Amino acid sequence: MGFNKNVGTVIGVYSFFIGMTYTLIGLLEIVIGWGDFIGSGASLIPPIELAGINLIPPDVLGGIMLTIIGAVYLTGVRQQARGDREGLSFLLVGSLLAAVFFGVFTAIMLANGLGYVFQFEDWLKWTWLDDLKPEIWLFPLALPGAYLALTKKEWRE
Amino acid sequence: MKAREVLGDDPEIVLADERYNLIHTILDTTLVRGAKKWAQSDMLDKVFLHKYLGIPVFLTLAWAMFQFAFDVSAPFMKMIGLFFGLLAEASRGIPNEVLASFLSDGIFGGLGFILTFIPLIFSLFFAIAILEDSGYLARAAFIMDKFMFKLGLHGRSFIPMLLGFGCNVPAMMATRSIESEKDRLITLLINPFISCSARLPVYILIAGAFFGSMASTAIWSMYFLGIVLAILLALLLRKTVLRGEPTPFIMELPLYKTPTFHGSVIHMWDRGVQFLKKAGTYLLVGAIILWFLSSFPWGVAQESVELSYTGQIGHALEPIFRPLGFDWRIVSSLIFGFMAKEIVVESLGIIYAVEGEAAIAGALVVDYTPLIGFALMAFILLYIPCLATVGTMRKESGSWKWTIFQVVLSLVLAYLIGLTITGIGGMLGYT
Repeated sequence: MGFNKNVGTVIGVYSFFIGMTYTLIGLLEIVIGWGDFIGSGASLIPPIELAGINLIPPDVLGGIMLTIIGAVYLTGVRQQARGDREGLSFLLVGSLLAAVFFGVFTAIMLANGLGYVFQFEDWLKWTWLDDLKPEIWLFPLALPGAYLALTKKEWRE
Repeated sequence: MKAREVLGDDPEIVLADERYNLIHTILDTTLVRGAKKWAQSDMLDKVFLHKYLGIPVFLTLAWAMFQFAFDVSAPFMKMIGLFFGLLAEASRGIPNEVLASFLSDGIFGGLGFILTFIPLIFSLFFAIAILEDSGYLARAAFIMDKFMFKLGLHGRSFIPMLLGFGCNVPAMMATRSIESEKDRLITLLINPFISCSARLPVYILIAGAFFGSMASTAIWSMYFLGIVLAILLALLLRKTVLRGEPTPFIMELPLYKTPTFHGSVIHMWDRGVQFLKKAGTYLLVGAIILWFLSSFPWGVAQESVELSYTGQIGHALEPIFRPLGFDWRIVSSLIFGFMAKEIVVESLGIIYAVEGEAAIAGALVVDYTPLIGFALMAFILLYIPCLATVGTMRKESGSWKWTIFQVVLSLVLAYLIGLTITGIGGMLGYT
């Protein structure tokens, strides 16, 4: 045991929320991108945009990865709700994976920004909004979980 | 009498068990245990070594690694490409025609083009170094062991297989950590089927030319095909010429560490420098030979590459490859690809007398169909990886017999798979 059930329930609800968010957005990426992936070009639902920003791009493999991150969060929910310290592992690794993807996609955005600065042929029409992928804008949601899993050492006693 | 028969189990397992029994005995008498703390390392292992999540999490990290390497390196590759393009353009102004052609087409156009892949290769090695330095790569080997065992491979075979995605040469050298000769030989024999980074430029070119928005899927299918064939081959070898069970996997997992930028850069450099050495030796010689064969007889070859030595060799071998839909141009480029797979792209550029990926892709679309393009990608994946890999196989296996076996096997397999793709694709109505 690591922490009391009330704290565990709060952590469990948080993990469930963030896990479901990653999973649903991952599934949407898969559904939107499926047509391109199998070559038919037809999509069940169109890409989701907000103020001209392609918030959920068509990306089957990327969607699968987001779903796996979601699954990591969701697997720990029951243990966390019981106050079992081992449940924190899923929160920590889920946040770690979210951080890795945030880092990778931010690095890609910066690299593309460099291509734009140098005005290379393939980057002439690039804007930073093109690279604002769910892996980047979902990450702030993972920060509280990472903070709790790393700093609340007394929960691991 | 063998040690295994005396001990009743694998000696390595018995030794490890005894070692830990002794450690526990000493600790029991000297240490007063408090309540066990759930350390960060335990927390990470709980998920990374999870029965169901372990492998998906590994695949997620591997995907992130490739995404990082390919996308981050793209503008840097462009930068190097433009630099060599400028040098090639400048050297065309040299009054001596042969020297101008040698420098612009052979050195700056040829070798320079291959050097554009340095950012990609170094990025990939940097990502692998981070995973290795963090202690995760050892866990990845551990979680893959059960799966590898079922395939007739050893858990330690996993690391060389993973490194094979970067370059087969260091990957084959990494098999030295496998103690059993049979396990090691199987890993050596199947490693070249793991698609190394040198094949990637060729895939990008062909897939980009023929498959449009499906290009990434076509490239992914090559990686998948290589893995499937490597697995099937491992099973086949285990049941035939290298019969027997894989040895048990014993490994002490290192502690997790936060990788340092400095440390990861050093590891990246250690591996990446192999590519630079290859570029300075095999690829340079390859580029010079290629330039010579496609530029001579001087005067005649300038009218048409078909009349050059390259064209003549391609024409001589074309009948063998006609069932696959390959003509003299492709055959010539495949021959040069034996030096290093990247040279296939360069040689296609020289044969078509065009420069740049877009121009080569445009020329390919005119002469070949997507089906032939796909068969070509498969052939490039499977036939002899490169001269350096053959040399490494000879050195690591210590046997010409196994080296020749691997060369013949890869050629036969490449031909058969290419033929199957064009045959089945043709029957299904694809062109």
